[in-house]
Amino acid sequence: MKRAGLVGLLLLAVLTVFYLQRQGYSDRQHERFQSGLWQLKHLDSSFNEDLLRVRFSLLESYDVFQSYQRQMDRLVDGELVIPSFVGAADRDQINLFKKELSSLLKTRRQLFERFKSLNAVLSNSRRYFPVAVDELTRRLNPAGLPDQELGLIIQKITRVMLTHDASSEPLSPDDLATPESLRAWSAAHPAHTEAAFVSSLARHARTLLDGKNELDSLTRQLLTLPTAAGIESLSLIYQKDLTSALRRTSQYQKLLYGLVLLLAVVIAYALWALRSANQGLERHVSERTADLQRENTERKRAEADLAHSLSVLQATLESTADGIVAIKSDGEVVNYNTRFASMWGLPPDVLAKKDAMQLTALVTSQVQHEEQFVARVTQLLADPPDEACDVLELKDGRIFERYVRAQKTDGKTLGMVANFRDVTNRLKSEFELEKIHRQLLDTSRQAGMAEVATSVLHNVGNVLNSVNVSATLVADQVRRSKSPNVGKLSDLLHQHRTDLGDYLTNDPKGKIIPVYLASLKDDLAREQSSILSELDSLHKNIGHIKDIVAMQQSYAKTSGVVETVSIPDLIEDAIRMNAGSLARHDVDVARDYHVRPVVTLEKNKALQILVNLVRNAKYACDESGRIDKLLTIRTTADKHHVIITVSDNGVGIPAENLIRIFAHGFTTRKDGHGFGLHSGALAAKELGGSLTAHSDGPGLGASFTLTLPYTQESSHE
Amino acid sequence: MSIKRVKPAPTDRRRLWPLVAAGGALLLAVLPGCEKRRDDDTVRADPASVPVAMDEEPILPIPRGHPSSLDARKVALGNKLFHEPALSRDNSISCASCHPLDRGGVDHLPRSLGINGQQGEVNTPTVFNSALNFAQFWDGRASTLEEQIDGPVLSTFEMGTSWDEILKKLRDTPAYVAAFREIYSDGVQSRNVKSAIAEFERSLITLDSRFDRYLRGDPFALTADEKNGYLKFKGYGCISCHQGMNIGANLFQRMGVIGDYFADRGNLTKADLGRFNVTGREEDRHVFKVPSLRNVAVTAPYFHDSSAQTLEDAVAVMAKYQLGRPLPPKDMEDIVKFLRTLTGEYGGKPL
Repeated sequence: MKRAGLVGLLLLAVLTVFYLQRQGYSDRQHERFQSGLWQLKHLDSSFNEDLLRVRFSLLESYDVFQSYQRQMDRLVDGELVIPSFVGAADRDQINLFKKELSSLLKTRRQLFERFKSLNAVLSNSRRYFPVAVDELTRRLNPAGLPDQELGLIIQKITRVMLTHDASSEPLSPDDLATPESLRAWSAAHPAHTEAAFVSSLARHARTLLDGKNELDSLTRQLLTLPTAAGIESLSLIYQKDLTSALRRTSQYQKLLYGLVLLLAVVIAYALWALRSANQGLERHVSERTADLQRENTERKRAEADLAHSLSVLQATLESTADGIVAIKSDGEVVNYNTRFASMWGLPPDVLAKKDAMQLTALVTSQVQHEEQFVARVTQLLADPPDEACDVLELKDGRIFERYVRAQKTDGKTLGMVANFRDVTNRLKSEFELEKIHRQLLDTSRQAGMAEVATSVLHNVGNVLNSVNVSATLVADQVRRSKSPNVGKLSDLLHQHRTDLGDYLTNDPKGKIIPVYLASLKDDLAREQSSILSELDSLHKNIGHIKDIVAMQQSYAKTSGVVETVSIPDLIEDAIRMNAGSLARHDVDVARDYHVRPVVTLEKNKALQILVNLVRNAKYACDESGRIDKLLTIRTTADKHHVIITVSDNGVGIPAENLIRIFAHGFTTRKDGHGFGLHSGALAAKELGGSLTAHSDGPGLGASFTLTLPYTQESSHE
Repeated sequence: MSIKRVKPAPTDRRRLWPLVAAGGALLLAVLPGCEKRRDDDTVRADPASVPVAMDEEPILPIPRGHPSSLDARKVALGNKLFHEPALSRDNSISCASCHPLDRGGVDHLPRSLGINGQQGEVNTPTVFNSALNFAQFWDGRASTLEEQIDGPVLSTFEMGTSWDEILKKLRDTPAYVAAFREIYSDGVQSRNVKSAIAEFERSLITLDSRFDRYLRGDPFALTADEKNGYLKFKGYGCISCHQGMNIGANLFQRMGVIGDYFADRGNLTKADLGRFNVTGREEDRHVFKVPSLRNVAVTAPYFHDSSAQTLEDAVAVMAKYQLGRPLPPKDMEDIVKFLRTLTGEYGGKPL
């Protein structure tokens, strides 16, 4: 760009030089000079032409000559400016010719003045002569010429005048003498009336004759003045100069055109460069504008965000239960919330001043250990720690927790933010809570121990019941056994050991012995089987007790052994474990097994729940005092769960009790400890299932539903 | 359908125009033949240079509207100066003292009176139509009106002053200083005083004489006698000298072509030598500028020596010394009648 400009400037300079050189030839100067020359020529020829016209009376006014002369003088003496391109030598020559021309014009002027005067005189005489002759003739003799001599003279002179004017031939001496003869006549006849008239006529005739020659001579002189030749020479010199000037000019012109072309190229390049620069600029501007717009949008958004943040911050500040104050390093209070003011009981006007010192003074008066506080505040302001927390005790007994944090921007500390929290109540609560907690811990520990014990005892007790029942049953059966009859039979056979055959065949008594033996065999077999069964049950129950004890021993560990069990077996176990009491209290058990699934679960827990439920149902039935005591156990299932419902037609549960039936320690029985359902619910939960209760009301029975997953998920850890 | 490149915005092109125009102007400036021709480069055609047709009368009417193209400001200033007594040494006389415009432009005295009552040498010619004279003064010693002004101003027996004196007086008059400054860049200068006065004199043209109207084709402008007078004027040869637009004043002629006027009159003065005083040539002895006959009826007395008091006297003298005979009374009468038709109007009023 810069280089192009420099080149352009250089070209322009060269252009100017060439232009000035070219200026050497000027159209204006040339035209002016040339037209001046033409005018001179024209005026010169017009002058000569009109001179002749005047000479021969074809023109009777001299006005035109005045104008010719004035114009020519003006041209030669001034307006014919030699163009600047004419060379010095030629200029001198032209000037010389001009000077010559000027003097020629002066000569012509003088000659012409003489010519005019003479021509006027001659023209006068020429006009007057015929008039005078005519007048004289009429005066002398209206009827003819009286005087022969005068008549002849007049005749002759008239002829001479007529021929003379038209002829260029010199007159004969005789002819030339005619004016003289006329004058002589006048002189000879002084008394004649027309002597004076004739004398004047003679003068006119003489004037005409004499003047003609002089006028002709003057006319010739004027016409032969070499003005035209002077103009011509001038013109020739000028033409020569013009030609060379034109040639020179055309050379410069060509150079000039070339340069102009070059310059045009440079300009075009400059334009192109300018335009592309412009486009670049425009692009840049538009990009910049877009950037600015984007920035603006972003800034607006940022501002909006900021405003939002600020409002959030302010709201946060105001909504927090803490008193917050931000203080700059120089002590100016930047921000605070109303909580801060109310905590310290600060009047708004003090806060409005935002003077940390005044604020500190007001605050200081409220704290215990004032000096310590002031020192701390000063220290904090001087060098705020990144984070600091301490507790202030106020004189009115309140305790504030102070949390100070340095406010930093780009690693530079600008001030600090102090956060005050009234912790008086919290500290008190915390203290009390801790006390309660301790008590609770003690209680729960005792309760836990009792619970475990109870649970163990309860469960063991349950099983022991069954053991007891089994033992009683075995004892009864043994007591009622037919086995003693074997002894009697043996005695009888011993008595008849001699005649046994006969006895057995003939004796009526002996005859029935084989039959009896067969019956006895059956009875005994039956007995044995029953006892074996009871013993088996007993054995099982003892194993169960062992299990319970082992389970209870690891109660705290909770996680029991997961087994795959059949739900109906489990239910049967539960019934069996309560079988004694059920039988005692005459409670019928109805089994309604829609499904018989095998599930994987902690058998003990499930059994414990079911035993509990059965027992509760038994109690409920028992309490109702009705005779058709019925316990119904139903199994159903949905997609993922086995649902075991234990229903009774006992006393039912009031609605208000339904909600707290699973609560720890809830019981309606005077000997109950309110642990069974509670632990049952817990166990159900641990099994990944649930335990719910339903009752239509008191006296309308109740049903408990245990829902268990097919597969026990590890619902507890 | 395809979307081609978008054309450059019109604003782009518009913005380039001044540059293109500038380039064009530059090209035009350096190209030959494009220079503007100035009006004053061509020599103005002089109306008088138009060739006169043969069949025209020797006398031409002054064209109506003549003079054209005068500088009205100069004319006004010239008018003021023409009537300015400060142009004389004792502030007693102005141009108008001898050339009162309301009396035909002459004072009708045989010899005009200069400062201190001094008498002039020749009769004062009228200032009217003096712009049409081919030379000024009886002896034609000034070729222009400007030149003429030096004569009376410097002449000891006329205004008797100097340009220094005049310029000093004028420069002391704020009104003149302002008026000159307005017209001439160099303010009050002698050439500017002359220029203004001459410009005013160029405006002193008398138009529409009855004879002019006759020449323009109004046959009723002249009476029969007057027409006859014109014929006699031509027939006796008066027209030989008194021709042209100004009816004379375009050539010199000897006073007494036929008779010896000065011998008869006697009491020869230097002024009687006429043009001889200017050229020193013997042939110019007693040669004077042929005076214009326009307004001749109102510019008595006549001749350089004021020897003729009336037109009749003047015509008689001319007949005697230029023609060599007395004129018949009737012809003389008609010629005088004709001469009275040459009085024109100035400012819409006859002189």
